[in-house]
Amino acid sequence: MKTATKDYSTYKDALIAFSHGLKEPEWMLEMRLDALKNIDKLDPPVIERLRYNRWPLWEVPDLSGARSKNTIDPFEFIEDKADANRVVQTGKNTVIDTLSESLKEKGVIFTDIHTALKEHPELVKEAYMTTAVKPDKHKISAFHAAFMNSGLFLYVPKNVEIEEPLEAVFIQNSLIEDAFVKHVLIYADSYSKFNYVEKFLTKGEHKNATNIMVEVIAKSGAQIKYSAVDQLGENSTVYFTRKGFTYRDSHIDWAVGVMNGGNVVADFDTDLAGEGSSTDLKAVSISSGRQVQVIDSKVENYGNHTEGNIFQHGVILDRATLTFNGIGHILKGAKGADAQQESRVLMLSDKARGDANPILLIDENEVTAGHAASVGRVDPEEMYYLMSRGIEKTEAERLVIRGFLGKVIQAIPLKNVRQELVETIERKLTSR
Amino acid sequence: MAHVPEKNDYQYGFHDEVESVYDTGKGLNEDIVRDISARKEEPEWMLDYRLKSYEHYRSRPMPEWGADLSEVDFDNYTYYRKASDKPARDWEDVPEKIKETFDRLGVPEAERQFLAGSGAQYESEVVYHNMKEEFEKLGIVFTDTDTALKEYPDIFKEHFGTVVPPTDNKLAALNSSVWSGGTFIYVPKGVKCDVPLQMYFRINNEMMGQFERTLIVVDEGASVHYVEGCTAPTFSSSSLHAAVVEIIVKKDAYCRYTTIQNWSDNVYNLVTKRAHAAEGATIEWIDGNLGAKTTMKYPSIHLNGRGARGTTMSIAMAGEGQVQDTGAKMIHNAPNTSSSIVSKSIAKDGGAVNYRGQVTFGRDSAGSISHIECDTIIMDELSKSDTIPFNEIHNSNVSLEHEAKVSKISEEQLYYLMSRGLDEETATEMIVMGFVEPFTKELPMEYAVELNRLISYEMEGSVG
Repeated sequence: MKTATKDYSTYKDALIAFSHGLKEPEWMLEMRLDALKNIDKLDPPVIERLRYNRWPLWEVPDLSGARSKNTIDPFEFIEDKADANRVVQTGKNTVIDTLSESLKEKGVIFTDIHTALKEHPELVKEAYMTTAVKPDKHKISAFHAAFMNSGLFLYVPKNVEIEEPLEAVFIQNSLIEDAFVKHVLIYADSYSKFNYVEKFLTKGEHKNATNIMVEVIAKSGAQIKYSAVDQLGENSTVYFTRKGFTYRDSHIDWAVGVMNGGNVVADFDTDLAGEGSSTDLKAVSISSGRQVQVIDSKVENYGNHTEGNIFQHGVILDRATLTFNGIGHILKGAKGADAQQESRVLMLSDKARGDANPILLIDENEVTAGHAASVGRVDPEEMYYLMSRGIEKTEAERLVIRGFLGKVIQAIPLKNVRQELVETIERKLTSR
Repeated sequence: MAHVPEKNDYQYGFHDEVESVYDTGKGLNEDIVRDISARKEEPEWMLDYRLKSYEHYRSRPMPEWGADLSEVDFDNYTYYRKASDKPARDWEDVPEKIKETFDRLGVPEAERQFLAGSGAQYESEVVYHNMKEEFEKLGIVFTDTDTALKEYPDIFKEHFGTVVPPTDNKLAALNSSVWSGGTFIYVPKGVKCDVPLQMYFRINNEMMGQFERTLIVVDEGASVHYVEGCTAPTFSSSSLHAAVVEIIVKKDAYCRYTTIQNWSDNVYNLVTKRAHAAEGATIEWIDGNLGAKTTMKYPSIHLNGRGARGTTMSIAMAGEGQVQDTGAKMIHNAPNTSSSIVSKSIAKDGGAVNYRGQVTFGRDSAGSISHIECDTIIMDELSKSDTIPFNEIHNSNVSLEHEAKVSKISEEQLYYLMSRGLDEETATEMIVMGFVEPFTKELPMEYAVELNRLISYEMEGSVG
């Protein structure tokens, strides 16, 4: 796939100044400059059934290093809870950064990525774009490595179990014109266990390129519950990478509501590297208006007895497109591996387009793999049942759809985020 | 562990010393395209068609998806080879050596026993074609495609190339430029041909290219069942089989197309098969792929008329060094259409068997349904399988259900059968036979018996 070429080498000096301005370690600058050289040599990732070479994803962010003028009030989007363990960023700036003393004492790190680079350089260096996603993987990752301009680092030490959820809120600043290149690095050390909840939102109407990358590294026996509600704006064109990497017996549970307003590639991928590790990836989505959302969920089974489940439910309205690519890949030697997936799409408009492409790539025989996909309208039997109980048609339809998207709603541990997802669903459904 | 028996040779791998009447030598150029057309004494429009197709073939890149075709050496094939002077209507008139070949393949015997008509193609030309008188009287036309161009020019020109245009893909363009032989069937309005018509394709020489072209037109309310089989000798160098099959099934008509593909494992089998179904029409592809080095074939059905129905039922087996890259396409272009795809695949001894599919519901497909099932057994550590289905929907009032499973032979079933005293090999074979049964039961009895025998033979030595 060809994209418009741009001479990225002209950004070298600005990038060096930007990195120095943030007092980044030398290795970080080297990684940026290496990646900068590679952007033009690499192809964008192949996303089945989507041509996005004309999407405006390649705008370089402002590298002047100036702290962006903060005109966004975070409390427009979040509750004021002083005791919550959370990091809130508006644009590139971190505006809230709270972590309880008890967690700090246990060695938990939950802060913006540049603070982490200063205070815990070795930990960040070990995990940042070394394991889950490497900068030279493709054009998107190279661009990201070169121009990453803010982010979050979460580290949970060995054997630490955290009850209360850790919350991250990212508000894209589209009051100004600036590409959004955000990195979230989650490093779960051996046998740690925690909940992480994430929100992405947009303030403002500028058309901004958005390149977000989340890396989740689960060391042996770690158990991570990751839930997210993505509500980026109508004018944000997004390539969203979420990539997990599991060591022995670890588990990552992803639950993501993909509820953006604009055109989005959601590239969700987990490498099950360690023996006995597993992942559940649940994604629900609504596409409306004229937007295109493509959710490309992939699980690669490398290790013996690894287990990957992909679950995708989506609703399509208006003239929108929603594509679910589910890819289960069992590599040679992954004995006893299991790859399962389910993709279901509800079509609510004749002008919409829905795709469900459940792909299995199996290179090993001692495995089980399966997929189911369906596309159709709202189940008439469920509708009939509800309406026979005196519920009106529109209300019945809403209830059926809410049930249809329910798996991710249930998986979110924070009540207010759960509520927000429900409200987003309602808003998207009533906008037609 | 169970005893590992020796694998027998591919029993159709024999080669006969048959002198060709004429061939165009290795490689292809525009003069050869003209030569083929001139020898066939074709009308001007067909020569133009061939030349335009040839241009497209030259400019079109090889497909970048699917199986690895990097070893296909287009310069080394012989594109046209004629082994007898003209198609005979009596086996006694077929050159002795060629007749012997088809005797060994059991073709005349099958014709006598249970076919309405039968044909045989040897290299580039059809050497035998006949239909029983009772069916001829009904007005059914069953002949080779070259003869059809001469004898039924109007109906030929009306339909030829309308389902698979030369620009469809590189191999279709190649076929359109050098096509020779193949089957032409026309079934008139309301005529039901209850007994199958069969065509048998044989490649005899090495580095041969066979490019038959099949055109089937089933007029309103009519029905037909066509069966094709194919084999080739085993050589170390490859041959190329690039057929195009076009089927047009008119209002309320019915067509079933059954293929048992059993090329030797040095043949590249790159085939474009497509059918158009009008209102109320039914089309069924019954597609068995056992042989060939590499197959790329995705029989497709365009459901263009209200209430049209399409079915693809297929099995694919890939053994050592084989790639079966097959699948199905269903394009729902009209309301209340329905389709069903059942694909059963088995990979063993390092074979690769892939399912690739496309089901599309267009804007105007309200009330349509599709059901897709893909099951795969991977027999051993060396083998692999990809399942790559695409489902694209542009209408809110449709229903699509898709299911797929990949696994090894069920240990539970194996355990059960072995606990009843069967040895591992017999038990495995029995499970595989059960697995492909939905397919074999769709075949005419004689073919089902033959296919079971073939599968049983393929399965020999697979346990251990």
